Amino acid sequence: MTAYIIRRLLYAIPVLFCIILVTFLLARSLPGGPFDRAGDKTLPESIRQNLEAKYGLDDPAYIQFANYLGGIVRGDLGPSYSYRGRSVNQIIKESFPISLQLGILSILLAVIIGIPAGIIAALKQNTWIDYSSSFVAILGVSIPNIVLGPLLIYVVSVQFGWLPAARWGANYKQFYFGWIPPMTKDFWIHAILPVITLGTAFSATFARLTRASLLQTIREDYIRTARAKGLTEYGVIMRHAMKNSMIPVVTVFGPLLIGVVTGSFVVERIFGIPGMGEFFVTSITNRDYPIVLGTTLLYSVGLVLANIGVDLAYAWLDPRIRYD
Amino acid sequence: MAAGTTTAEMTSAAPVTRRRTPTGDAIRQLRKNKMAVVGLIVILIMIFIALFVDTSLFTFFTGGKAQPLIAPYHYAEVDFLHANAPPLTRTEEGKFYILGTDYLGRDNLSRTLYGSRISLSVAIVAATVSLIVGLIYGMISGYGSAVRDNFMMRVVDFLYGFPLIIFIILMQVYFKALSATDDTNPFVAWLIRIDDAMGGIFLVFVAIGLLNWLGMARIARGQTLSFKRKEFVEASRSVGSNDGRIIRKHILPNILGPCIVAETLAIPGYILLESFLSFIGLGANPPTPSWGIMISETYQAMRVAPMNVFAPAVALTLTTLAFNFLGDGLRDAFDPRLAD
Amino acid sequence: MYKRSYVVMLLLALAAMVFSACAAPAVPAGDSSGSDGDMAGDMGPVTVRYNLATEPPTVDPALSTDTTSSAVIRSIDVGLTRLNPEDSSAEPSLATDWSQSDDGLTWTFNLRTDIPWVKYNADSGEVEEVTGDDGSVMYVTAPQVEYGIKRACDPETASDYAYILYVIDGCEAANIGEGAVDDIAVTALDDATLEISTTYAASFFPQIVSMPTAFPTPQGVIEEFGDVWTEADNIVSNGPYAMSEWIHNDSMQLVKNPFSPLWAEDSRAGNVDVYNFVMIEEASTEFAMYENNELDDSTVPQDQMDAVFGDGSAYGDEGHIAPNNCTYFYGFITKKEAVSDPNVRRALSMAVDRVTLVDQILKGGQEPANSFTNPANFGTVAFDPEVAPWALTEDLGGTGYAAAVEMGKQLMADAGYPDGEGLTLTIGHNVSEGHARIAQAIQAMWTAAYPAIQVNIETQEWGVYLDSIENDAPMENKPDVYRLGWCADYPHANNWVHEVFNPDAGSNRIMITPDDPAIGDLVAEYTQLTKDAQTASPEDSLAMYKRAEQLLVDEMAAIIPIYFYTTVRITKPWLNRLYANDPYFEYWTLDQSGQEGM
Repeated sequence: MTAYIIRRLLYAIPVLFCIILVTFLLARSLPGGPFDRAGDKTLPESIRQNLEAKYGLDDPAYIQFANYLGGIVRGDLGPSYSYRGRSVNQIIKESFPISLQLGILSILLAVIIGIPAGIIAALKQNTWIDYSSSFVAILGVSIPNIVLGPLLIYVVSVQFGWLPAARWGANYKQFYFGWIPPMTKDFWIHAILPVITLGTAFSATFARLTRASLLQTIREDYIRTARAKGLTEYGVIMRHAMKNSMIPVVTVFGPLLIGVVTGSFVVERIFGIPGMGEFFVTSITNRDYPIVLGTTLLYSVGLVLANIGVDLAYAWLDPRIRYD
Repeated sequence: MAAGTTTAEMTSAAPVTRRRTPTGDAIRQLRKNKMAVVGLIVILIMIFIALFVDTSLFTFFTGGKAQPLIAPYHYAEVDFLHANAPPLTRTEEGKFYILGTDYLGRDNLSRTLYGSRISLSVAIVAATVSLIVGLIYGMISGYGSAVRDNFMMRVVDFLYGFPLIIFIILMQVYFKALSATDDTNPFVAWLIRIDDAMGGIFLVFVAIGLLNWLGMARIARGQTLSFKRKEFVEASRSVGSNDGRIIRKHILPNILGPCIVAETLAIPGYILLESFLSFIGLGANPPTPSWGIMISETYQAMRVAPMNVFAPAVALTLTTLAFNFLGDGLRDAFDPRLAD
Repeated sequence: MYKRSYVVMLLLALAAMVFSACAAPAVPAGDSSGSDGDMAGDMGPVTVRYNLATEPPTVDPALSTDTTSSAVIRSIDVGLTRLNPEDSSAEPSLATDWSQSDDGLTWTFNLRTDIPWVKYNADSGEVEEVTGDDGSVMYVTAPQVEYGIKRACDPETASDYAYILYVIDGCEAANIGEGAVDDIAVTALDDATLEISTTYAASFFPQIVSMPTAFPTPQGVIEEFGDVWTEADNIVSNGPYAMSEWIHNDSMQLVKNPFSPLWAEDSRAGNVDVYNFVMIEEASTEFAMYENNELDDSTVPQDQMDAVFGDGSAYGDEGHIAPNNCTYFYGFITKKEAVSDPNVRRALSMAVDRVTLVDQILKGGQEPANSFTNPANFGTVAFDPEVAPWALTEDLGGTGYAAAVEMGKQLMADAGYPDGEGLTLTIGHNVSEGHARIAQAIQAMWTAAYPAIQVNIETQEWGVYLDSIENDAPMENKPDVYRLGWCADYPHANNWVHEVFNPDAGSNRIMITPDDPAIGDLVAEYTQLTKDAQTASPEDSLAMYKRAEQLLVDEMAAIIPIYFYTTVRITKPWLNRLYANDPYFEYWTLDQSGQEGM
């Protein structure tokens, strides 16, 4: 098992290297540089040269790339160009846990809506119960966050004054071990609206997976056997079918989380949440190359680890699967 | 289960059995799923609207200026004095705004109807391109040797890791330069004409399709792998069929169904991607309407002129729901094990 | 087998706990401003909750370029001078008075030496004076101003705004690496006297030194902490407020610096003890927070203008509009074939219905612009009917829109494009909802005035857009008409007509050259004029700036001035604030009983 993990990690190194190299080249091939302008104003040539010299952008590209790789080996992702005095490491350390918290809570909500909807849909296939539970699950993904977010803010916060309109209820200075938010009332009341906005968008994924997986499972021979043994329908579903049909559902958690964390730009923007999603978009517009590379790297590494995690979860959940 | 399993594979269709499913079976199965039928009808209506919202389908060939057909007004027709008008506004000039107007006094109903054109076509264009590329790539990968397969899948892993936005910005730059050149090649000129008509994002979505085939490639590969060892394929090989014939006659017909299903389910994603790109400002050039642009232009006005955002949002939600239900229904229909 | 179902159950149980926990607490409105909100008890500090809108890119004075950074820096640091919030004239701050030598090239500033450097002590929660090794309080002195200016000019610092200080003798040479930093003509004669030499007699120099780029900075702290000296834990400052906390991309807190002499000496000083800043970029969210009483002040989203300022507004008189020293304009790339004829350019400028744009679309009280230089600057000719009268209403002595369009039609026909027939144009703008609205409105106006014209709009991502309108960009990538705004660095026409469009000095994106066959002579006149105006006496320069604007806007018609910006805010009745170009946080007053009462 350990050997398998090590092999997978070694496999990932050339892939990650290529991703860094190509992202490095692509980002620099975008027209415009990080120091062309200040606000609406363009900067004189001499000022731009000073800035480029300060950040080593006047070196040949291969030296810049080598320096960058050297930095990665040392665990240093370089300085940000657009936030003077802040390093990419620091930015990730401050914003990534928030996106992760938002992502995990959202996926949990998606599970809570999606799995029951999927189960009901599977057991009552092609009935109005199937249609309406699928409808509820799919509705979330069909309403754009740009509409749902402001709508929730307007109704829940402005009209009824039940919840704060925006912001995240905890910041990086308060996190335990740098990752875990304090479970205060303040944290939860700020989390509700963004989590609903983001989480409902993923409930369809879980509903669909559960439905398909369960439909398959209940036609397996051992389920027939269980039924033949005289178990109640409820017992059959809960004791036998559920376990196996949950395998694909549980394993989708990791890769989906990576997608949610990096795809939370709209929700973070609307709710003013200082997470990572913002940087995936603004760093490109700012031509802040170190953040572009840092976020891409984080995303790719997350994806590699999530995929390995999926395979391991499979092995753990299904004794028939062995890796050596 | 082999290494490299991912979300895409698992969210895709459940494995298809060895039996070929006659299309008739699938249609019968599909018709049992009422929501899928409703979805199909909604999609057909949307396509009809997109085609006949104005006369440009005819004027594209005959020349001349297109006139609104289904839509009451042209999408760029402004009425500054009646900006943000409420629904059912009738003006002194005899104009009638059923769903009100936006911040420049443009008819919401017309823009929403016109919007179907951009939103649907970008989604369908991207889906078609990605289906073709993914299918071919996946079949080559799955059908060939293990070494080739492994290499080709590592390439897919590698492409997965990229920030899409960089590509999109680059492609917009590239296509803009392309449309500035006077290309004499009639095909290129024709493409540029379509691109202009669609506010400069047609080619971007072609390119998005060219990048988004990764999930499709994985599905096609998985399906190919499972079929190439089947008895009937072996039998065909033993009577001397070459690889091309086997792929054409046995593999492709069997895997096409699940792949089309997966792509149908991907279409809502493209529609939402268009609205995301509009939100970050990389959508079509104004004043071309798409649902995504209309939403991102007006969501801040939700309180003062709710119809500005709800009209396109309802259209978008209906369409994505319809594609989702159709896709789910198709998947059930193509998987005989799920038949009851 | 059981293990597996446990995982599922555990996940579900956890999720259920999470959501039942968060469903429970009901929040009273007004108590939701985050952890800092509950500081305001009956006797608590006077606290204002304000949205900075973005993370300040820096609070290092030498590096600041944007309004957010500068708003913070001007609250926590002082410069030699400061601008009067009413008329933008330079008034004493660190410098008590200053004089200009007879040749106008040397400035002598007399400094006060009783402003201490301070630092927020997180343990005691107090702002404390910084003391030296010997325990004596450290005050801001002339050598620190010298250090600040030299540091800004130093190429190693790589300050974006160093070019603002190029007027100081030796700064440009040092900054481009052709001179030594030590040779920059800034000299502290003693702790209380500073002498600065300029390259030309610049009457606006006292306004230039009011910019953060020329602020004194604490050498010891900068050398000790390097780039991170601006973090809340490290920073020392000297302004009316001190930074107590900075949570990046989320919030910042400023607390009153009791050692600042401003509080006792300045009659305009306000009563705010604490500023809790948040960084919400989304205008509609900011407005929702304001309505939910999480903020005391907010911008007004464009779509809410009618609701806030319309008749019978539910917001009473909470809305405020104030002029802002910026101008929104369209520039022509005069070398592009379609707009190479000045008559075509004038006709297009005439067909922009500025009044409708401002009243029906922007609705933020903006003023239609007939000149480039904003009315808040020395040397402006805004609303002067002798400059581009067709851009002004009859009330202001102009021609009005209907007459302007008639003139435009004639010009368009004379130029060979009757009704715009045969003319195809592209308007370029960078990604932004507001720019898209204006571009679409102007497209519609041009099409209404010249029915046969073909106007396209091209939206570009910022970096790509700016790159495409650079002078060295390929012509085929450029739009015919580009959008930009300009805001004053210092309130003087020189910062406008000279530094932006003079082909020898500015970025000149309009690409005017003296060899232009149509307007070459005018370009030559313009080039000389704005240069001469720099050294002319203030009275003489007024006429020169007027002539320059006539050339720029009307005769060369190289740009279309569209409107002068305004600041549009909504403020809770218990907060009394200024609406100048900078916030002037130190002058705000808040009625705590009003805020508490909510």
